Amino acid sequence: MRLAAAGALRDAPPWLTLTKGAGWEIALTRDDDGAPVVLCSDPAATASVDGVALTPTITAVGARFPATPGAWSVTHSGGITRFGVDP
Amino acid sequence: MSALGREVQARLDEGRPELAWRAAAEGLQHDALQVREHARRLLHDLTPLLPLAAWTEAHETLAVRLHIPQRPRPLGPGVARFPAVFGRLGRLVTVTVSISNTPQDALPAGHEGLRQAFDAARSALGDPTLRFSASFDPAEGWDGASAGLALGLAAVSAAHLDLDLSLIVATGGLNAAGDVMTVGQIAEKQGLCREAAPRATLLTPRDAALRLPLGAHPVGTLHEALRWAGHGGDDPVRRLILVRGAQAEGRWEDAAALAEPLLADLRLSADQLGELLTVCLAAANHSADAARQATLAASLTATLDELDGAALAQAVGNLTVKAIDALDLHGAAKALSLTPPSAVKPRHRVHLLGPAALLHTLSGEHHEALHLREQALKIANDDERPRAMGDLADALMRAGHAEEARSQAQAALQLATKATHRQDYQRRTSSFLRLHLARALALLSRRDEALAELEDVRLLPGLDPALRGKLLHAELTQDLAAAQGLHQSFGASGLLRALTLRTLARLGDGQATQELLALPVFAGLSVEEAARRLPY
Repeated sequence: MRLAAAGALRDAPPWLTLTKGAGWEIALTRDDDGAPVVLCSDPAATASVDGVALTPTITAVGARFPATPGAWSVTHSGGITRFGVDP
Repeated sequence: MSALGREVQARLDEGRPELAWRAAAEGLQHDALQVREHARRLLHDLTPLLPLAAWTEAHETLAVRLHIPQRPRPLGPGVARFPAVFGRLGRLVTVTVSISNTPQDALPAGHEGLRQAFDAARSALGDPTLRFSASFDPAEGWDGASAGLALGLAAVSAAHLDLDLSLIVATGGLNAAGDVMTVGQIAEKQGLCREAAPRATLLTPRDAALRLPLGAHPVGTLHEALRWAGHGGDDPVRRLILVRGAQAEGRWEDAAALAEPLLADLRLSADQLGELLTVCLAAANHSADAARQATLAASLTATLDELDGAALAQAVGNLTVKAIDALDLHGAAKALSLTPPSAVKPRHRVHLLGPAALLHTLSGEHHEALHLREQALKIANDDERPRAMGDLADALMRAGHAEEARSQAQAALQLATKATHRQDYQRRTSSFLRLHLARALALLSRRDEALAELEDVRLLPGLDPALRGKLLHAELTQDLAAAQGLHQSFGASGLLRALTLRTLARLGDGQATQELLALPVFAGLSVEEAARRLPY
């Protein structure tokens, strides 16, 4: 049974760590449909882009936000992190 | 490919998707967020590859937490699985059968020896013209006739599209007559199924030479396997309903066979478990299986706090009967004191009045027993009335009213024969009633009529009432040799030993008399009184 034969086995996702600290990390990656997302390891994290709050998808891995271009502010267990996402 | 991806793929290559899932789930604990996210993706991808029989509550919980939308799918028509073990390793092999329009059955090279499974399937389906074609995944790397039962099941499922085998794993040879044949490594296969398909029932040959653990079910024929697969499903409550149905029909052993695999089902509530234990104990009581009675009684006692109403009354009733069967007066009184008849609602009292009457009988309080049997008859519903009348006949005999007992047993028999509901149950009841009638006729010295009533009873399959019928027959015909034979065959210990000793004592066997009267419960009694107090 080879997943690859069914075209289903995916390797590690494309990954760019944006910032990380003790026990937390924020990365840019892609979701199951291939759309770019920002992933924060803290499932309780909140985020806003250009002041507009985003709705996360919470999973056992963390909080996932659509990687909307703009000025980001993420509040998480390690504090507040600000960064920008280009279009 | 990442280390995690390689590990997952390796487990898949071994044919163990559940181990691949476990490896991926462990990846969720990794320090690196990237590995954890990869693990989540892998679990997403693995979910549809898992057998439905491997999908446990823990899998479901994790899938919900990870927002995985897919779920394992049922196998579909014509597909079955069997365990293949080789040394430490093992895997489930999938067999797919389709109806073929070729003149001959088609089996992959090297597996032609399994052809008889198709003959058995044609016979089960009643269509000798059907032809089948089979394939296996994996096609190689396993060996043997043990695929026969799964192949036969898959063939029937190919024709009967609604026969879902997703929660069945089958091992066993299958001959053209539909008999399930012994295969090896049953214990290893059970171990494999516990890991690879924990929700499945493993169907095994009936004569597998070991005590089957919970989760496995022995079958002797393809028909039995089909019955189990068709009735089994995965819904424990559905199975519980089947258990209740068999019990309501008085098919104690069938009810217990259905109940036993459910005892380890964690989805059942404590009160449902208690109900199942009661069913199993009732069957063990009926078959006088002392070892099984003791084990089940211990488990049931531990669940009593969870029971109430009818379930509690039935449980306590069966615990009391178990102690009576062990001729343990103290134990029976103690069990009954857990919930005396007066402590339950009138409609549930019927479950306790019988055991309480048995306790009085064993204590020599025959008129008290008679009084309770009369009470039980008053509150018995229509279905139970013939059986309650038979019990009353038994009590009348012990209280010295043989003619009334005969009349009561005769009337009960007529009522059971005329019954239009639960006819199977009433047929079984009739056998017990004939035994009571024969006993009453014997007491009235109407030997020939008693023997005539016994003709059918002693030829019945199973232990009860056939054994009691044979013993009474030996007494009436003064056949000491037959009684000794029954003593040798059935009288190893416990109640059955006491029953066979009673017959030998009645036939004048001095040693048997001595042994019977040496039992603590009969100390200081005459043979006649000991015989009268021995229930049944």
